[in-house]
Amino acid sequence: MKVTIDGIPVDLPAGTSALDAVFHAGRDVPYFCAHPYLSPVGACRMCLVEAGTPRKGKDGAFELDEATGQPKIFWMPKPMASCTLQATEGMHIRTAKTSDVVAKAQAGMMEFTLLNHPLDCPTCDKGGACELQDRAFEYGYGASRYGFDRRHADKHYALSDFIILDQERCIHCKRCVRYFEEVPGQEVLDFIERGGHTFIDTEEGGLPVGFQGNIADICPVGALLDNVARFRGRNWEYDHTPTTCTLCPVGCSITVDARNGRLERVVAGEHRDVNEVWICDAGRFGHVFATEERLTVPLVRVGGELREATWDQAIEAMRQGFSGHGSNVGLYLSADSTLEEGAALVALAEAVGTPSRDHWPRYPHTPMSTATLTDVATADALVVLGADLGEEAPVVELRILEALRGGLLPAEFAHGTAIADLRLTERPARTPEKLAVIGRESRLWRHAGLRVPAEGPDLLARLARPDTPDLQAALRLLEEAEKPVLILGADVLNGADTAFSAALSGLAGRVGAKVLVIPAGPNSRGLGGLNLVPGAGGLPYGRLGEVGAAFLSRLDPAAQGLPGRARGFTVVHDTHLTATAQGADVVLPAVTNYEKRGTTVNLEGRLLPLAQAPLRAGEGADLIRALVAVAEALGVRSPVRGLRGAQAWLEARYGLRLAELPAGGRLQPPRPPQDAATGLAHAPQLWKPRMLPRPERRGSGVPGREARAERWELPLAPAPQPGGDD
Amino acid sequence: MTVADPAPKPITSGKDPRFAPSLYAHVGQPGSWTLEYYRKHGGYEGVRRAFAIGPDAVIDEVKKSGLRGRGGAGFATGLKWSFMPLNDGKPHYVICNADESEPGSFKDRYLLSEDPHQLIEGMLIGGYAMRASVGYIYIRGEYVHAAERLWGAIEEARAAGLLGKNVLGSGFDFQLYVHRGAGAYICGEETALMNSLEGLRANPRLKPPFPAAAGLYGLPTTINNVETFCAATQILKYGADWHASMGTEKSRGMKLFQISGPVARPGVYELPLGTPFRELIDDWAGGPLEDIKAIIPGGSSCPMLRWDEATLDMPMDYEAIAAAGSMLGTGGVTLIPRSVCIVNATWNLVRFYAHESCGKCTPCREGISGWMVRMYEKLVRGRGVPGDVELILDMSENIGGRSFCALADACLGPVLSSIKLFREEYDALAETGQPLYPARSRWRES
Amino acid sequence: MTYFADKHPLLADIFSRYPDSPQGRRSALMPLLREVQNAEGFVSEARMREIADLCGTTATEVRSVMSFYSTYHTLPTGRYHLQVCSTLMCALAGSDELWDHLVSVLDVQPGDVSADGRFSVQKVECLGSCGTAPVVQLGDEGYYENVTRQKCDRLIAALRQDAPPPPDNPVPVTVREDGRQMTAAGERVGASIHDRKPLPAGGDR
Repeated sequence: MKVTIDGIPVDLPAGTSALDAVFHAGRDVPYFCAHPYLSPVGACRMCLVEAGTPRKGKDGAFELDEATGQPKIFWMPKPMASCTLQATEGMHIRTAKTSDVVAKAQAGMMEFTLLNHPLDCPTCDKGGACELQDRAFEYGYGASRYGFDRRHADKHYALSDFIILDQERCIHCKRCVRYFEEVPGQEVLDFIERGGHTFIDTEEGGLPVGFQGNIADICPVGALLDNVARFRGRNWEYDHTPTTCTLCPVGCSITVDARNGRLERVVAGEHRDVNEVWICDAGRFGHVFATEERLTVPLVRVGGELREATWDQAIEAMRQGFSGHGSNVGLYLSADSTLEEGAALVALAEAVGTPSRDHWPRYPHTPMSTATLTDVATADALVVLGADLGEEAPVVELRILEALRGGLLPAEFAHGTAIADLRLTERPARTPEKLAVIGRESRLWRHAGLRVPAEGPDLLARLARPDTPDLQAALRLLEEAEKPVLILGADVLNGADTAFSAALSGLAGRVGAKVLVIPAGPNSRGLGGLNLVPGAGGLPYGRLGEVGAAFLSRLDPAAQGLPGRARGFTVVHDTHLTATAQGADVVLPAVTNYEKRGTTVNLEGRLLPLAQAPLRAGEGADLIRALVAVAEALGVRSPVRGLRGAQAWLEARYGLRLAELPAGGRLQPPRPPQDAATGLAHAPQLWKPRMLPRPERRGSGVPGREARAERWELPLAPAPQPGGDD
Repeated sequence: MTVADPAPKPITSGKDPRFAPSLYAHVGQPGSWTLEYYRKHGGYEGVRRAFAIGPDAVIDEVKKSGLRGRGGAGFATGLKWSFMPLNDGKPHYVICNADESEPGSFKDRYLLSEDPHQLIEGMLIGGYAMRASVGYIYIRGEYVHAAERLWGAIEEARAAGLLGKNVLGSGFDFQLYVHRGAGAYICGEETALMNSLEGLRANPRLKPPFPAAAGLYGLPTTINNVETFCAATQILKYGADWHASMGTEKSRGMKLFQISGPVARPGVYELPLGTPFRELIDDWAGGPLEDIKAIIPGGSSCPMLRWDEATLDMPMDYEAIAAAGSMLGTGGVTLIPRSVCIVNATWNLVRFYAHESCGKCTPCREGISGWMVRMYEKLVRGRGVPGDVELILDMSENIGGRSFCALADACLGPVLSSIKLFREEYDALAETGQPLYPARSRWRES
Repeated sequence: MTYFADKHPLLADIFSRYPDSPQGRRSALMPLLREVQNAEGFVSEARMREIADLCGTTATEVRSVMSFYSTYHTLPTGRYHLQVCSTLMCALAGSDELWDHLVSVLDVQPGDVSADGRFSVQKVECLGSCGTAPVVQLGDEGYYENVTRQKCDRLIAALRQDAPPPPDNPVPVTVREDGRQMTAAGERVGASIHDRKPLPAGGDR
């Protein structure tokens, strides 16, 4: 399909919106209500263009312009909103660059849009990264002729603990309302009143925790703000670090915003194959631990008490502590560690000669995934077995819901994801009958056509040989579909073994289903493939108490109610003084995954890169460097002493090439994980206590009005009225 | 029959001896809303004939009659009906737009309350032609009395086998329900009406898809005005030729004209299209009671026309009024007296549109509901300054044709026309703060 | 006790008007709001939640829809909720003065209820009574039309006695019983449809 934009001819697939045609041609048009992953609605009227089409005569050929011999263009009588206009063969489009009518229409529209906007950019968190601000500069008149008071409304209206609404700034683009309806399928936010009185609100007593934070990202103005990050910095002050979230095995793209060494904000990144542009609330708001109460120096137990020490003193203490234990040392790390860190730990374990090495959480046996998240989003039948996605892998839930509303993946153009995909519609038709959920009750139940309450490890066997009509229906759903996907979670995987895997591939093969297995930990899929499980005679993490001496990296067994110590000497490497660290002999300061370079493997088997955000970590060290210190204390020399060494080791041993991983990662099914008993059941929990934002801990240091007044001992002036002067 | 019949003179006067009112023939007669009365006067003969000639012939008949939508837009009804897909296996819907809210329009109210069976029959005919087995009458919430009459009539019709399974033994099933609105002018817009009927906010929907492809509940739907369905009843009853014999070449048939403002006999008059304003105002409504300066020809959205001989001689049909820069609209004629400040009168209408803006799109929500209404308030309150009128005109240019639906453009109808016709009143207010025509009491004592 | 708990036949009747689907269920939202408001005078938050459950949606959606339309109330109105049309056609017949008169005589402002709990007032837009202006609507009931100053005072007096007069429904009769229209001069002109025979059902061609 040939379309001409400002004289630039482009070739586009049928169905493209005029707005995408404009951007594809390298031209620009302002827009507020359109959003790549939401339905186009044509509400803000900013994306006006002039459009014209050739007309076919009676003979079926285009009517020609007599002067030029080219098809004659019949221009539409008024400017059209390009987000809802479908480009057609031979269409000509004029943007503000070539049309004075469009330029004036957009300037006029901008004046309307700004009519009631408070223009409080100097105190707005969105300032500097605001679509309205940018577009006003590019397309506005530069001044307003509106000579009346602006609308005054609540500027600090809490929609939840996490999202604050500034009602004055809202420009009614409806992105947030459409987001809730279309993406997580929750009717929890909507316009109230009508006309000039319209505002957004919820009647649910607060937005539900789950995926609410995304509305702060998509708000084109500073109306919906991340309350955890509110007033923490200006956009141009932040160091933006695009990286991968490692709170769960999905591996969403995120950008970490840090200022003065503090992690202030996490925003979603776009990864079309993984999270599109959505992340969960834990990933967005649960970052406070990266900044608060960090352990910044090593601690050594002296006289029964942990005392601050230098790394040299800590190494000396470890040398003494480990001596006498020989190779009876257990090395354990958290399953959100990178592949490179895992390589360092395996290399050290081999150098020491200890079979006691492990990562946690993991399952004794993890079947292989064959489905990608795109497979999930485009499946025509989905059966979720024994999973609570809200705790295990929240964004998988969004991809499932995407499948239920048609599995329409937005097209891709020269400018990226289609901004106005005309196939997406408001209040999309959903097909709950395509989803069966078998297991304990979870948030996903509401969307499922078939819900089977059940629990226990034998669910797979029961699905394969259904003993109830509901299970028969679930099996039939898989059998009758063309692209079914079976999703497995903790409740069935805790009891998995090789026989389970065989049964699974038997069932999947029989019904032609792809399988998505949700690993226990964020990178347990990757770490499991590195032989990071107890060898012959080795003790798993669950039997820490039986090991002679132990080194634990970012694991807190004491908080889980497990023994927090080895029989003897215990070293803990962590970012915080956890319950386990408090009982350790030596505590080494660690860094969070926001401050690491390295590679993680998500539930699909996709290698995803981590980048290092500039956070203040004191003398904290990542696991590779911490293990160098441990090796020194143990008197061995590990072959892995840095990131490059770890990557070289991984390439030499497993052929994994991680050095030149592209930003979006690479789908590369990893080696199957080794099996080993764990002696523990894994109970997934997304939000850890230390992730919960506690506003009182994040005080700006500025006392409240009452406190200030008291200090000055001045009489209190009457409190300012909301709104105040215009 | 003679060989060369000279073309008969078109019927364009209510006084023409050949013209017989049909839509309103029974309004006001005792018991006109009952089935018994309706049947006694040839009721449900139209639908019987429809069943006899078959659905495609019904659409042809309506096409041939030249009937155009009576809700304001004037789109050819037969053509609209023919857009409904055939044999697509999906349920189809017909909806009657009885959300009569255009200021100056009040014809449907009496059709609904006084002759509900005429509408039911029209919907049966439409439903049969368009293969719809369910119809909804979306009636504005304030028409409580009319809704009760409608409910009663539907009950009667159902009991008599005129609604439900196998209507009149034709094999055609048709259910009809009344859905009451709740106070929103925008529901007169067909896609907003469908949203409202679906229990949503009445924001207009994107078109395409058009209702005939994906309307109510995403299924093929056709929406017509009350008067249009009633006209269909008469067309099927008396024939397309009869209907086409009235009116002008492109505006066929009869129309319910309403007249309000200072006239002796305000009310509803059934006249052939093409009847001149003068006949409506003088002969039927008894002439103005005051000096008049402007006419709103078809409901508040239609640009005002100057009160002069040319306007009075203008035939009331779609083409002639459009040629004069306005619209026939719903046929709701309002006279604006000389003594009323035109800025104040226009402010009243702008306030109406500001109140009824749904808030979906920026130019209407901010431009009309936020700014325009305040500009008028400022002028009328005597706080205007020179340049305000130019600002209103420039603002109107930024609103007109830029909004999502026609509501914003509808507001500009009175705004632009009143500025064009009575600029001196605007300028006086903007420059001196004093209206040329100060407000005076208009409330009658008794 | 929920409002609809003991009203199953009513619910069944309302739901039977719409398709048996989630979308159809949602269509019952407005009739249910009307039902509650007519019974209780307004729709409370608890009722919004109840209606949300019945329609398969959330209280947010119910509030959103409800607030869109101008005849639903979230706060109790007076026993007699007087709605005065203020649009141009009524204004030309003096509705502005009618409104001022009502507000001052009843001593009640829009949004408030008079001290005796009887009256509340609301300015509304065109009620479709332009030919019989000015007009006042009482609650969700009928219209009082051609409301002159004297009629207005009689209406107020009657309402103060809790004896609301029956609503007006003046029908503009222009077509006489013989089917012919009468001009302002009292002349019967034109033809009568009674003289025209409907086409036979069997088809005339």
